Amino acid sequence: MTEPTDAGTVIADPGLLALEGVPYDQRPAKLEIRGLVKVFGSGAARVVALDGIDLDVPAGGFVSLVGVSGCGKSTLLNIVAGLERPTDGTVTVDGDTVVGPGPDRGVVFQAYSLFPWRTVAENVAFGLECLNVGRGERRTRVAEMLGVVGLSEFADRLPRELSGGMRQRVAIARALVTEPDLLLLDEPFGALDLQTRRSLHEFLRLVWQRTGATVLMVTHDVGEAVYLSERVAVMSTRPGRVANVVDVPFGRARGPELRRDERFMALEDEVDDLLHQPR
Amino acid sequence: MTGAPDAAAPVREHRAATPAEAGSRETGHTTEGRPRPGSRGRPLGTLGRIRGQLSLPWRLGLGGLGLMGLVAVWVVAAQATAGAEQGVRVPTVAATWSALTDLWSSGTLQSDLTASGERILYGYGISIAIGVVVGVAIGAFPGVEGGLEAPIGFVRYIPASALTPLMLLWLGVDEAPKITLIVVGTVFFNILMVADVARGVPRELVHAAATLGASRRRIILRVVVPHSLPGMVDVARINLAAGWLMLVVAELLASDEGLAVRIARATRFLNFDVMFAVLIVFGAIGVLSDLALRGVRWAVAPWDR
Repeated sequence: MTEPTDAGTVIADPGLLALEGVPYDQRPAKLEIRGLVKVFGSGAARVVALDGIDLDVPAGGFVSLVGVSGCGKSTLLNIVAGLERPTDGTVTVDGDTVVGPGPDRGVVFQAYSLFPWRTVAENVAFGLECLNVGRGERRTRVAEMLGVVGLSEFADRLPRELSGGMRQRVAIARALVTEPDLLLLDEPFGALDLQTRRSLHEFLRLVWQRTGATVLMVTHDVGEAVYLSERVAVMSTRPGRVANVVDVPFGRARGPELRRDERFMALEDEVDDLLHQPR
Repeated sequence: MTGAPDAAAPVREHRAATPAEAGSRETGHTTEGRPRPGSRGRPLGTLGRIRGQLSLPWRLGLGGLGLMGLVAVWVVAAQATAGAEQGVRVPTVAATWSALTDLWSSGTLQSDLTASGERILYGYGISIAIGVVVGVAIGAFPGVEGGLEAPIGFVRYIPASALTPLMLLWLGVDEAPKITLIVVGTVFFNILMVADVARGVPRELVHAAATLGASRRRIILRVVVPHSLPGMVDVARINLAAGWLMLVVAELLASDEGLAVRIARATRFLNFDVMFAVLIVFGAIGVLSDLALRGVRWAVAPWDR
């Protein structure tokens, strides 16, 4: 099984190339998180999971949230997805307040999120069914998306017949097929072995470069965050805050050779130190 | 390991097996027990291996052996009680068989099967339908769960057979009280067990569906129900035995035909062979319906075989 090296031609947006070189903070924000607070429980069991998070993701941007386990990064992603309500603060996408989950924000979970009774093609078609897309168009778009993730031959297989890496590619295809404004990734490669993870990094990088998707990814893998993102937000634990923001200056066009670049390794070490610094 | 032949030799000597142990290794025979000198580890066993799995020939062989044991007990019991005028009397296998063929050739067995089968079909069918709808609602919606679990938990502990007189008073002696009894005797188990099955739907799947734009109605119909389907068939299979139990209770009180009626009639004339014949019919129906529902489960959920 070779992982795909070509992300195809889905909604390629030449306008994005113009973004190259524009200072990060001057690009229009797609996602705006303002003063976000999440408190679980009350009384003695009260836990402040998120304490005043401010974060922007510009259109076509790729931002990663890194933090040790339990820092609230997945809670933050769930709030953006609309699966949890914030205690205070707002999340807006293109100016609209998020009040619940919707197909404008595609989510890829860590694992076990494919419908086991549906074939690969039927899994990818789920979002289109929800949008009442007709059968013919559904078939075309699913086939196109399966081509993008390199799983055309596996269209009629059940998820349990696929490897972990292939399943995550199906999950990404399922999230992308409705052309969401925002792609939210919750430790999408956390359950995979190193080789599979690396090939999926290439896959995701190509998808991002060619589709112009706006991505917010949660991970605990610093190398993954630095390799893929334009900006890395480092979270502290209890209360969960964005402790540091590190810009990644390697541009949109990257490749595996970047991993051996000294600047890359230095930046990886810097983020790693920020993540583990004593407070 | 060419460098230290003299170092390896004593180790090999130390591990050499005694003839007895060598023999047990050759036959592959392992019995659980204490570690023996010259061997390491505690054998896990074969037939007694905890959570172990048997090959198909072993399973079929042991199953056949068990059934033969049951027949052997019957034969011995029949022999021991032969000629007794009262007390325990067990009919012979031959007498039971001829009673069974008589029931068949006279057409009694067919009409009894039809009468009992129809009651089960309607009663248990209604029970499953209610169980699926209410159970899924309890398993899916916390509001329904909060409101219904306590009352159902209470009613569940009322023995349904204790409701028989009430049903007869309310609904007369026709088919209605019998079907109602089967429903009442099984529906609460079905509801609570289906609710458990629906609660077993992974939250990840519900969340994935919601983020893909599915309405709550679609999440119920396209995620919760398909994921619960094999579990629901299991629930139907397990609780069917309770359905037959309630059928017997209902038929013994007021009925003209039905399998339990046949037993009650035979009691009056001390026809032990007829009673045994009907008991065997009950057992056979149970085994067949169990196999059929296992087949249904296998067919409806290729992803969960």
